[in-house]
Amino acid sequence: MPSPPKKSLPPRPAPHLSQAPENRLIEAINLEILCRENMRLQKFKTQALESPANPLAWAIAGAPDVRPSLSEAPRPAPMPALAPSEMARVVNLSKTFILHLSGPAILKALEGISLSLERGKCLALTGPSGAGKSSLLRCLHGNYLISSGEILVRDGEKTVAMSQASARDILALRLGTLSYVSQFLRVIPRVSALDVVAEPLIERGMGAPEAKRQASELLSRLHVPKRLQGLPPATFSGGERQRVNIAMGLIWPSPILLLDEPTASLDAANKKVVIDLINEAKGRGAAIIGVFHDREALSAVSDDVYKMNPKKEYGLKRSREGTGEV
Amino acid sequence: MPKTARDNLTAPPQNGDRPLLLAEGLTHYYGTKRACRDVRFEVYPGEILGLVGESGSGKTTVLKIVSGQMAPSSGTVLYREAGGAVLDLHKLSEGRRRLLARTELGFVHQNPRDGLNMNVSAGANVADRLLSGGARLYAEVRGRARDWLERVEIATDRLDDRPGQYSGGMLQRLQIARNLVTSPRLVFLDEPTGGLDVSVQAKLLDLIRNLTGTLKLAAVLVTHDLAVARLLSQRLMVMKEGKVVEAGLTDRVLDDPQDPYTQLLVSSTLEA
Repeated sequence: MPSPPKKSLPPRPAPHLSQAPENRLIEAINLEILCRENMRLQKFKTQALESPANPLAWAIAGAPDVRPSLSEAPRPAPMPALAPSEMARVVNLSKTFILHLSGPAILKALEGISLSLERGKCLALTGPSGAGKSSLLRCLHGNYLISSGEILVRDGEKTVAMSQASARDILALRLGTLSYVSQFLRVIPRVSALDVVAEPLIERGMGAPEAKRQASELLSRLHVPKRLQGLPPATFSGGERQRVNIAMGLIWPSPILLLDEPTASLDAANKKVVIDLINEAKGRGAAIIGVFHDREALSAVSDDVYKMNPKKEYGLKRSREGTGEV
Repeated sequence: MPKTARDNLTAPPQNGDRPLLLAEGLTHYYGTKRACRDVRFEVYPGEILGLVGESGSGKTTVLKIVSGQMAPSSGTVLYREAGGAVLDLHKLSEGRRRLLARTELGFVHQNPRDGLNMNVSAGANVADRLLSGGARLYAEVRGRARDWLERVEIATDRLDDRPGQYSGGMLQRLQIARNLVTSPRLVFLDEPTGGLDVSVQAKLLDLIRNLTGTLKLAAVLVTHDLAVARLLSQRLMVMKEGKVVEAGLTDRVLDDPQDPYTQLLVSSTLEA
């Protein structure tokens, strides 16, 4: 706001400020207090305007919050609901990275992807490096934010829209619905392979002895010998680490599995075990999406193939003629 | 956002949908220097909220305010106590706030000497909070102190030693035992691994991870180490010059940072 009257006033000798330095200090402090009070009052006023009741009390006492929220105001058009056989759907998904430190540079990772994940089916993502396969999995896992489009995920009875989901919604989704097998195991110091694999079960409420028994069983199946199971995976070979990683991702029977090259760096015998595990998961009705570079694994597990490339031309193909009925 | 009860049977039960702590509009001045500005966040039961940022970004100031040690220039900190009542932390009487700080809340200082009484034995340090919580039987208090020393991997024959005779890593573990003995619901951790060498740090991280996992306690963790934040916290807030510049899932913030400052922070550190 312009303040011409202030300028037009003749300079005053401020009679209210005393000449003694200590008095002047007190005056200044009083002025400061007055300003702060004023700020606080302003804040209180705006708050009162926003909400008739105390907003904090609402939020913390867990009462249903009936205040119109700003984020809820412009509701997007409702997405068509998931079909009964659908576990998740990706609708016109795009992901763009804005790298502020280099320019900013804009990096398009995904553009206009639409696909859907069905119960008991495995969709394989293929394409060269840099096509965005891993980025797509990470978007599905909530690890990357969605730039535009939507991902709908079935979470029990309800459907979660990833673009609207809060951090806690995604944590709940990961606990109940989504399992992700990353490309590399993130090693935690001092934690044994057995504990790493048992953790997803313990986290979901299973007793530690039973969880460890199941973890040991799965690790043995993946040819991680008992003598290694008690050691932290930091000293393991690449293949051994990858098997611990797979065991960790597959031990809990999650309704949706996201697999990022689960068969990479595995020998033939272990690859076979992983293929069996994936097919067992399909058998119990899990929806699976994965990146498989390995042709053998690809043809052994996939029902459909989704081709991706860096030019962002995508296409869905049935991997087996006649059998891939939806 | 209103939360409805989870009716999803396949999902494991959630720890509760109501926040334990809510901070709103926290602003604090040291003299004329603003340390934090309009900081707002919630802490839910059983979760660890990480708070990262460079030195001087206001992390410790925020932690001191939400733990009730320091009143903010403006803003509110609400805490839901075990009984269900919602308390305004900075409007409580000093005595009430102290009692809360010794029973339901815990504070682990970066320097364990700030959180321990160096003039009494290790056992007495652990027993201290039990006594203020109303425990009176000597044998029982001593037994629980011994039990907790074991849990933080301190040899129980060191129970009667003064903390001055402990190493840095042991002191930090003793401080954690002292805080956790009364089963607090919410613990504030201020750079708990700062100043410790790497092997001791790993041991301590493992300990914190296990304890928070098994005790289901909530924590606010201040750190400048992104790897520590990734390991321990589910949600992360990034602070710069007293303001929260980004908040969200820990792995999302670290893998897909949106704010220029977070991008700088993530790209400046060794693989986290």
